[in-house]
Amino acid sequence: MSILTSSFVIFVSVLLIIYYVLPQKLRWIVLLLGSIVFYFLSSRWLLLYTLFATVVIFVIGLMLNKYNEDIKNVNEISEKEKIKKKKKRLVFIAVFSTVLCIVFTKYLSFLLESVNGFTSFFQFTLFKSIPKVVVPLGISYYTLEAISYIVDIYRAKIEGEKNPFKVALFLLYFPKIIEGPISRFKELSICFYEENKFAFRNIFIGLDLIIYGLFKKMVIADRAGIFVNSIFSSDAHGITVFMAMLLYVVQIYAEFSGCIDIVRGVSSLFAVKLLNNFKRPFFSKSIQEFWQRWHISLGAWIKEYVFFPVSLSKMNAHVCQFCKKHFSNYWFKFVSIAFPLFFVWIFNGIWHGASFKYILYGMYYYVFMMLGVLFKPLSDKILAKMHLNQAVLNVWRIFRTVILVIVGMTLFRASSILEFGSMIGNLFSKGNGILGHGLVSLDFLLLLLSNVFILVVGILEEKKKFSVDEGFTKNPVVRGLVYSVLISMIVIFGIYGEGYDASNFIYGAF
Amino acid sequence: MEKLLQILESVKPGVDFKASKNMIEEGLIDSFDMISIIANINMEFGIDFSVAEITPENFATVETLYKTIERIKNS
Amino acid sequence: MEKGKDLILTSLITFIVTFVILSCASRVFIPKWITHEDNMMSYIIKGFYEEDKNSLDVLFMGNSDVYRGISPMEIYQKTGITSYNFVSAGQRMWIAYTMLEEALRLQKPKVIFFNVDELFFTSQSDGAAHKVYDNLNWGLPKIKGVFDKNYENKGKLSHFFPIFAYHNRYKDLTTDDFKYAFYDYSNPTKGMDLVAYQEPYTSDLDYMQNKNEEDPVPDKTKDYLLKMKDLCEKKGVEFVLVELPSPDSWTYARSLAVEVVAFENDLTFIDLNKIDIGIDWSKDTSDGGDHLNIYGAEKVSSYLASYLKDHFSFEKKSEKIKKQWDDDYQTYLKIKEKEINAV
Repeated sequence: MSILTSSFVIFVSVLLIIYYVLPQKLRWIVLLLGSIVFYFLSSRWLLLYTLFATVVIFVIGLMLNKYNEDIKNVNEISEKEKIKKKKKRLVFIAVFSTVLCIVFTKYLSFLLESVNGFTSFFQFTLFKSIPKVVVPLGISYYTLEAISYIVDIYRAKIEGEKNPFKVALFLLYFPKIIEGPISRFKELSICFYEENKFAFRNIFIGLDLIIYGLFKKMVIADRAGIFVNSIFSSDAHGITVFMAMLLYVVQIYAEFSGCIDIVRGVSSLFAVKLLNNFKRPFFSKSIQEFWQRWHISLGAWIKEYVFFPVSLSKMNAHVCQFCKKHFSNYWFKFVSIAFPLFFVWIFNGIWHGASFKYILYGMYYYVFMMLGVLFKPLSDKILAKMHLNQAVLNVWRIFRTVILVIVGMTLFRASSILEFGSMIGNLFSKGNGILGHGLVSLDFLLLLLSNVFILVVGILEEKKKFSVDEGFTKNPVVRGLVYSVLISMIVIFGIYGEGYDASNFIYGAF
Repeated sequence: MEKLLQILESVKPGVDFKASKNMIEEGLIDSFDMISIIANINMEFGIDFSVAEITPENFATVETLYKTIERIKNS
Repeated sequence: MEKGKDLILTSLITFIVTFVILSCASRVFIPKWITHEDNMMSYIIKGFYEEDKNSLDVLFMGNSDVYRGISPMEIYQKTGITSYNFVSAGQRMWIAYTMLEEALRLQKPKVIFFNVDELFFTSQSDGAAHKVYDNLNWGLPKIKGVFDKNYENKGKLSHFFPIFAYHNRYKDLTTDDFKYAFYDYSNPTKGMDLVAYQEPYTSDLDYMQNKNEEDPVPDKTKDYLLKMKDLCEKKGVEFVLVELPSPDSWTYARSLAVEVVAFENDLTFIDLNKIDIGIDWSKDTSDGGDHLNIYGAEKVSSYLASYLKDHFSFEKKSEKIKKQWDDDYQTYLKIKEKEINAV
């Protein structure tokens, strides 16, 4: 079931009524049943993968609980170490089983093709036919959530849940199953089981987010997408290809953040708060900052479960000691960051897609981040000498970041590394304009105006004048008028109806 | 406590850590800085900082960080 | 602190303001069709709404045969009887019924003439139906009609807010779209499409010969006909069946089938294919027998005018209405002259 259909509206409305009719303690059951129905309607029997993950983390979670208790009651260090080892084994089993599921579905063809690539050196193909596997809905998201659940119990930050259905709800909760945000068990549980009282404020924020998200998706993203789809696999040059690159960034931002807004809005109607995945990412002054403002839940997950563990690992310590001994203190500092970050970006790349292109995508950002760290002392000196004022400096930094992101996103969208290369190469020859590729000048005007609108909203949020998340106004008349204008814009200028397909969600096939 | 301040200063020179009410929220240190700080703490205090201890609460001020170090040392 | 009354207020404002914006947008976005033919529904239906309430003595209903073949102004000139062609092109019986319900909301005619050949058409004819709904005002007949089980169409919402169907025209809007959005549609020809072009009908002149075939009225359409009869009876309106001369679609078999239905249901049926009203097929049709032109229409109107005078009596009109119609008649004459000279 697509979230942009009338059936979804009916589905949510029915759930809402039952939800608030029931007493607070029982409401989560409605969410669980609704989520199961939603998942089944979208992915049918692939639901079994999710249930498998639920069972694994539920059981191992309880076992970890026991070990956590045992560790407290034991005094000898050697005994503690033994239990720690057992805990580690359990975590390994949990992570291995859930990752196996996602490798078996999302990454199977990539794996087999890579093996074939390797064996082709020996003049034969090991796998004659690569099976096409359907990827279970949301597996990239809930697998990470499952891992975070187990590791948090391992770290004694949370306790393993005794009710398996509550574990299932954590993974299956339907607003976040399609495109995230990647959530944590503790925070969601508070919303599901404690703070789910009805409040008009939640309804208002929900409607605010849904309407704003719909506007971004249907007026901006889908419109930009027409041009992008027309240009990307064609042999375009110059201004044409540049506009496609620019509009792709517009498209992916408007679509991803728009859809996140819609699902957060829907979730808010149920008084369940989902984290925002975006914080005005295009105001970032560096790649590092960009990834703290873009797809925030992914960055936070990687920091917590990849970056910190690798940084504090013995392996990293050895590498760093090596650097300290044989090189300078400067290199020690650099490698202590560069080493774990390598893993971070390999992970980020691979998570986004099952191909070498995505690994290159991760490495692209890694290289620029490392260059940034390496050259920071030097560039700081140069910029200090130039006596530029802070505002100009910031503009330069933002501009530089935006350009890097546009190129990175082009790689992300291109169907292959080769296509990416030829597009970049084609930038420097003459193009054939921006009209005649699916959009007319009125469309470009609409894109410009609507982007200016969300830019202004972004600036106001950045300056803390208001926040769409917290309800942009307290005045019901103003709210009504804003809703009316936005809804009318969506109806009149939205991309839908004859001749248009509802765009597939870019981040939804993960 | 002095040793800790020295470490903080070596990782981020010129920053007044003592006066800060919340080092993370005020943007005085980021994740990269935390790694360097932890590496130095591990060496200087002979402890093993675990990921579970990397929380906004523990890294809020110099005092909370010092208390965290003491706690790890004594457990 | 957000309260329930805030939600009600916001919802109210949202609904009202959005409704207004989308209704206006709908009026602008409805295609002002390139062909005169396609725009007919706007002229006819919107023109009907411009007529004073309860000012029409007679209504003619049915399909495009009527808007080419009957001239209410000719009838007015001869008899002082006011009438209007409240019809649509490519009409089907379920549309006819909706239009009848709509008409009787605003007018109390003494008699309604219904052109029957659409009794034999059961296919959907979506586009033609949509053009009716694009122009019909909000009301119970419209709602019932859109949801009628025999009207198959996707996108019921776009019938109430055409903007949903036509929003992609934002790139193609012209000044005409804005000009005609809130135009004065008063129709001096009273729902008639005045065409003077002559293209002779050259086929079988004996099309009304008994060829011993059968062509019964389908049950589906007959149901609607009887519903129309019942509605007229309830409102005290005389319901008369008529068939305008149409050699390319009418037959003896069909005429007989309708006669049977009329007889069974106590209805008058006037088949102008069987009565000699002086139609000359070399001069009186604009498209080789499908529709009459002004010359044919004058003959039909003359016959109907006499029929009306002989069988009914009508109330005197107020001075205001008489003046309006006299003025409209003058305009009508100018239109007729212009059209005839243009050929």
